[in-house]
Amino acid sequence: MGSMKAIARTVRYTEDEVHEIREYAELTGEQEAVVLARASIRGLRAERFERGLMAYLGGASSVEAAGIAGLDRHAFLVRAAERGAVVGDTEPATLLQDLARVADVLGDERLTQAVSRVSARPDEADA
Amino acid sequence: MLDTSFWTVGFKIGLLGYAMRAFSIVVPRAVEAELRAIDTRYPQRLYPDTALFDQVRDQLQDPPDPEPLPLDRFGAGEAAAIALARSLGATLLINDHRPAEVARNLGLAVVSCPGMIVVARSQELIAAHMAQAMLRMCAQHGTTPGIIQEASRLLAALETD
Repeated sequence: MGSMKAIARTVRYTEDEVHEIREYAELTGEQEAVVLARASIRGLRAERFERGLMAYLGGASSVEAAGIAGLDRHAFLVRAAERGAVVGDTEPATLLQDLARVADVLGDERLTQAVSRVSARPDEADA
Repeated sequence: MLDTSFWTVGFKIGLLGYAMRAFSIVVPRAVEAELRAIDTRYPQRLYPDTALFDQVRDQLQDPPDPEPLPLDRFGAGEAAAIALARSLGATLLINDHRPAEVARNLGLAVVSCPGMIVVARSQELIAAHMAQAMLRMCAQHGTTPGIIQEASRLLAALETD
């Protein structure tokens, strides 16, 4: 966590933006500076998360994406899942390979046979 | 061997109880630290998968002490989970495709969430329609159509006994 000491920053806005800020500050009854401080941090965090998510969906590892988002890995994975963005395997063949191994590990003959059946007919739908 | 990604996504899909039943799950210290990490933005927040982890932690296995050195790539959790799975010859429960790929290349058995659904159905832990419903949830959470289709074919093949 950073220091709680507030540091001033100067930002330039267009007249339209100033109007929008003033209008909203009047609506909430807050000082413009308070509204801006909150909104800018909220916007920055949202933007970082979007960038992290895009990186994740584009092939970055979850820990890299979490770094971009400014989150730890678990918090990033939770938020990504909430957004419907979970990146598991992409190659269908990996599922067959994995389950062939696991069937062996677990001694699951039924699973072994199912994997064999699907592997033998790679382009057919069994359903 | 558990990675954070499997716990977080498996929780969403309702798979964790079945995974705990099918496997004796070991939790690397780095994975436990990830799952219990305090969200610096919202320190009071307790994520639901972390709440469950806290509740069932005593049913999960501790790693050996000391743990093997983690891989020198990826984050702390997956790097530790891959190294420990390799050291113990254990199956890796993971739902993050890049580290899963590395684990496969190291010769490890890997189970992702769609794979766990098929395992749970194979062992009759869940009904066929539940397996399909879980797969639909995987699809809603971003699992690729190719993986969903392959898992569906495996589920269909299980029903042809």
